[in-house]
Amino acid sequence: MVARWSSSVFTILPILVASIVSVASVVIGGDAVLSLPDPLVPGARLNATITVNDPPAQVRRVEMPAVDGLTWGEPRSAGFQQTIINGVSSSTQRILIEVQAAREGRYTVPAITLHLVNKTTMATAPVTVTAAPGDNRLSGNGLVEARFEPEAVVPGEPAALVLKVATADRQPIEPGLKPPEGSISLGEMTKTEGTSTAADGREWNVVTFRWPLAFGKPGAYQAAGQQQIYTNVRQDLFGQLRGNPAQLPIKPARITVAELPEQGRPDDFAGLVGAITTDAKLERDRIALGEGVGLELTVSGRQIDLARQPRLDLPKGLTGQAKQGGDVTEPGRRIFRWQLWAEAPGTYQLPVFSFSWFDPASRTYRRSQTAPVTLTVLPGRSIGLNVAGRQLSGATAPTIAAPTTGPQLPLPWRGAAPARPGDGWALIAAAGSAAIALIAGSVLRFAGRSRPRPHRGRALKAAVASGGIDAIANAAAAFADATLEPAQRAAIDRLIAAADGARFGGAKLPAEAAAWAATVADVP
Amino acid sequence: MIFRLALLLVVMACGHGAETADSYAAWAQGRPQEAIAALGAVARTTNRWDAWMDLGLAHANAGDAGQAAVAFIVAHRTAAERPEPLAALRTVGATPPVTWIERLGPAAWPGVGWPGIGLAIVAGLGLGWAALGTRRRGLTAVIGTIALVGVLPGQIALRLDAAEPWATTLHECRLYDSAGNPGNPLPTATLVRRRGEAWSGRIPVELIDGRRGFVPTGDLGP
Repeated sequence: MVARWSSSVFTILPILVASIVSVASVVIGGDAVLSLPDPLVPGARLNATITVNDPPAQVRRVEMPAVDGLTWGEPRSAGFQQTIINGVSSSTQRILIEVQAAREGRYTVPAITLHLVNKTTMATAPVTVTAAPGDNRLSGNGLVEARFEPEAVVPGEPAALVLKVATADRQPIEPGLKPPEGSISLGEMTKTEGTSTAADGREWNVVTFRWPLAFGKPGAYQAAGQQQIYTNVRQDLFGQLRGNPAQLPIKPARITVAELPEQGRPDDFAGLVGAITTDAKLERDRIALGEGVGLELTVSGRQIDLARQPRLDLPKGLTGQAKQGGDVTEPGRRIFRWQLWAEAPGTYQLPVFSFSWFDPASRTYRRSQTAPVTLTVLPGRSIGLNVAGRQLSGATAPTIAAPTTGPQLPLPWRGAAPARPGDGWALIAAAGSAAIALIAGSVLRFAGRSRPRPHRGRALKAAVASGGIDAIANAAAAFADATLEPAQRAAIDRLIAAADGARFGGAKLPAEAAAWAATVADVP
Repeated sequence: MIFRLALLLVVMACGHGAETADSYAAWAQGRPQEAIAALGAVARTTNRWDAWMDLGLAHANAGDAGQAAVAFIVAHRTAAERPEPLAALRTVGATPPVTWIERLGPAAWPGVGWPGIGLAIVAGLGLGWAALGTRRRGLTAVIGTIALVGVLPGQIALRLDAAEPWATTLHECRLYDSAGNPGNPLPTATLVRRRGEAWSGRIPVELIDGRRGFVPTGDLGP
């Protein structure tokens, strides 16, 4: 038993190791993708590309498989790119191979083996390609095509104006025409770029512009213009593309907008073209008596803003009105909202909303309608309203006149109302004027106050000390209205007499003058 | 720089005026609902009572009595001495109670508007001079006091009226009791007084006739 196990292990182990080594040598991370021009043009040499993502090592050799009818050129490297983003490194290697198909038909290219520098290999997945004649219209410098898709519509039906510009040289292209007058834009113009193959096998640059639009009125419309392209495009010293401008005429694109058929047109048809969907739902399908509930109708489709608000025909016992701001239009859908009240408990079947629309495919009018909605109103509790204040006779609210419009309303003011002072202006005016009066009174009071009289006794003493006769006379005269003792009065009189004698008689001031002045030195 | 700024302001003012004129044009052509957005912007920007009046009139002409009453209430708060907002409120179905200015009658006249400003200046000058003036202080005190007595009633009434917590129902709704049970219906543009902060999605209100209850927040404005 043990011997049989040992022999089995010794037999299986080398096979297992060989398998692991083999697998590891073929698939070690990364992938390789073969891209072939589609279609291949018989007789033309076109470039195929092998893109190797995250190879464990650079490709050393490409082993091209033999395919009947296909001729491979010599592979050549088209660059190795390595990037590090957020610390994650990735690399890409591109390899170009010329390929030529011998005849029209479908070819299956089996896996291409890539031999890497580290002795491992990678392989591409098998690819099937078609070989067919190239577009023989792609000749000269360029080709411009314009068309409407579809070429016959009805008013409101979405269509598209398509402008396709093919140039032999890759270059920036601006559209040379625009949607015709009378068309209604349904969105932004889109621009796509691609390539196409000419009959001679050359690859052309193709830019396609697409304007989604519709038409409001029946008639025949066309779009035409001149398309500017550049020939002999080359890069200048600074990498800018330069070329010789050339004008290509654009063959007019025509579209016919037919009248909407009269036959079978519903009365409520609002111009909706294309399928629409409708959905009606209640906020709650069970409410208590006295409670309100919201009803929401959603209509979805193209040009849904044409939809009219449907009439709300409620069953007896149910009242409702459109909610303020409840009509909401959003891209692709429109919402109508109502508020409902029940006047009695019961089960109410709400009306079905329906919208008619024109089906461009069948050229007939069709109708979409909501599913039935049922509202159950429970009896509710009978609790009286807690009322405070003056009671009114009867249980119902006072009748208030309905809003009136028209002539009873005054005309707008249009900004012509007389100016009025602001709310705080009176207070500001009172405070400001009071402040002014206070300041004025203070200033006048301060300015009118008499200056303080100098001390007469000290002034006289100083005058006597200085010996100035006039000063002594003036200082002594200041005591004229003073209340003095008799001795002080006598001293002043003597001093005045002495000063007069000195001023007018030329006599000298007596020596006692200082003593006389000292008698009134304390008189202020 | 200052010239460019002034020019820009002039251009903006002209544009603003043109926009308002366009809104009135749409209104005059029978599309008042198209005027509402522009008039609302003007009213909110300027806060002039006549702008709020025009907004309310546009709402009323468009058939929205609830929003019209809201605009008229704001116009009344902005210029409580003007009778036009009250008259317009009555036109759309609201029944405003007698205001303080209406109660005072002619006695309120000296205290509101430009006469009130003039009297306030006289009162301030008279009383200020009486406090610190140098002569005829008694006479100016008497004049100032008379002016103050003349201006006070109107000013007080003006402030009381402007502070009235009026609100209106935006559309038909119901008066709820404190337990959340629905009561009698309230027609659109029913004038109420707010009695406090919103509670459980409803605002306590008092109707002009004295009834009290609660109205859902979304049914009341402003």
